[in-house]
Amino acid sequence: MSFDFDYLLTQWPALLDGLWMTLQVSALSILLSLLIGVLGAGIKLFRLPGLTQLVALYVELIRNTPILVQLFFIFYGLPAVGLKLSLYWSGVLCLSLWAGAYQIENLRGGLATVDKGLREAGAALSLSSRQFFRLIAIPIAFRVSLPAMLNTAISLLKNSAYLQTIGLAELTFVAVDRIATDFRAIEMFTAICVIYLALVAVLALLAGRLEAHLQRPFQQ
Amino acid sequence: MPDTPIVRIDGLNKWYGPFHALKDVSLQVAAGERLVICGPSGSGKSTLIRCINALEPFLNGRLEVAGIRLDERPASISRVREHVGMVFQHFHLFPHMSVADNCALAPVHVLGLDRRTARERAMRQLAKLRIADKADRYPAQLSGGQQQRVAIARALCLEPKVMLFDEPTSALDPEMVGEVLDSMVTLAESGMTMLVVTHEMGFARQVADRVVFMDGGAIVESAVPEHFFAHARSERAQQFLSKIIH
Ligand SMILES: Nc1ncnc2c1ncn2[C@@H]1O[C@H](COP(=O)(O)OP(=O)(O)OP(=O)(O)O)[C@@H](O)[C@H]1O
Ligand SMILES: [Mg+2]
Repeated sequence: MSFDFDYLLTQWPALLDGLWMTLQVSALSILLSLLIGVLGAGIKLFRLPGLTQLVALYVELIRNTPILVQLFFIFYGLPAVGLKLSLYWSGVLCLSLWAGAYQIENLRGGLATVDKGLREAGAALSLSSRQFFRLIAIPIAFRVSLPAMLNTAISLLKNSAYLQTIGLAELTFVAVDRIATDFRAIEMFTAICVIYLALVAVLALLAGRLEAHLQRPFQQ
Repeated sequence: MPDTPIVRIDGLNKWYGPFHALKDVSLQVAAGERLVICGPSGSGKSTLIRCINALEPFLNGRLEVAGIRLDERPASISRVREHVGMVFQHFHLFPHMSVADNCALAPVHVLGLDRRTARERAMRQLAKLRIADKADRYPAQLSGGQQQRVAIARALCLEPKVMLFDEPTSALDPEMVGEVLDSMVTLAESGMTMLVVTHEMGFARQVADRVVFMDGGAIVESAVPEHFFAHARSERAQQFLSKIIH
């Protein structure tokens, strides 16, 4: 049996649909995970009573359980307590919560590098701590944390493949689905590997652009 | 006294844990007055001026700036801070923002000015500090002296009534001290009330109305410069002067 390119061409529309779903779910989840990261890191920085412990618990829970179990918990577990989400939103919720925990820690690393003197300068200018966080601490931390945040985003993108287990028609689902009927495993898996590689490359490229932009003020 | 003082400190005490850092400090500064605060390391100079804009909380005593009584309430703290500018030894410019944005930040987010008005105000202050040509540069691209002048402009953009300086030239290369001191002299001539912690006794001679000498968390002497330099009363001040002036 040889590698059949013509077969792949006939499956291209289906793969594109899967790619589109993977893109949507991943892009939305990356944005939401960054939001969770900023909120969580802020709560920890300001040591908001109660919430700080909640965030710590959340981070530990996510980091110390398999993502597949988290996904099944959301998709099969939550309906039992009356929270039934669509395939799509179960996927987005799972990926966002998973990556959000890591983004909190990534941003905390960046925030730790923000000089205490800057905080005093902000206070002396009558900026509130919230304003300082938003206008000064977070932009500075973003630059420092960007490589780590990119890693998390890449992992999120790759982990979107888990969503095929609940039946969301993303890229891996499409491939597995077709293989079940056409038995063209090598073609399909090669194709989606190449697509995932390309997606990661694009993500890295975008992050590189962003980093260059954030880095500009710090060059002599 | 004809005018009510713009800074009024009565019986201020501050502890760091068991360490008594400010001991019953009282000080009144009239509007337009220029004070130089000096004293040996650890005598409480920074602590004192940092109490004035609530960067340090104090334990007891009374502190009033521009008629506003400073207490724990965030509202009182932020009102006082709007009237008090501060310049730090290490500048603390916001590194991710251009010089102009550093200056316009507080006018926009604290005073609520629109961006254009804030930028104009920033450019005016930068021009006074003769550094307007660097408005679109970033702090990392400036020399220490230039950064400190930007920091002064940034503080002035809130149009404070009092300016605090904590060793503004101590972190500078010697050849840059002059440009910063010149800016401060100009500011003093414009009538700004200034409290300056510095060991630059030339500056004290030139602009100070009063020199305040601190030791061990207390104000030991307070006198006009000529008097302080010629006839310091306390032994500690004499020792300090003999070390610093040669
Ligand atoms: N956060 C702090 N915790 C504990 N002790 C402190 C703290 N800040 C200052 N101190 C102590 O308080 C005393 C006064 O400090 P302060 O910084 O006001 O001195 P200073 O006169 O400004 O000295 P320098 O000339 O070295 O700047 C010092 O003995 C210092 O060790
Ligand atoms: Mg000091």
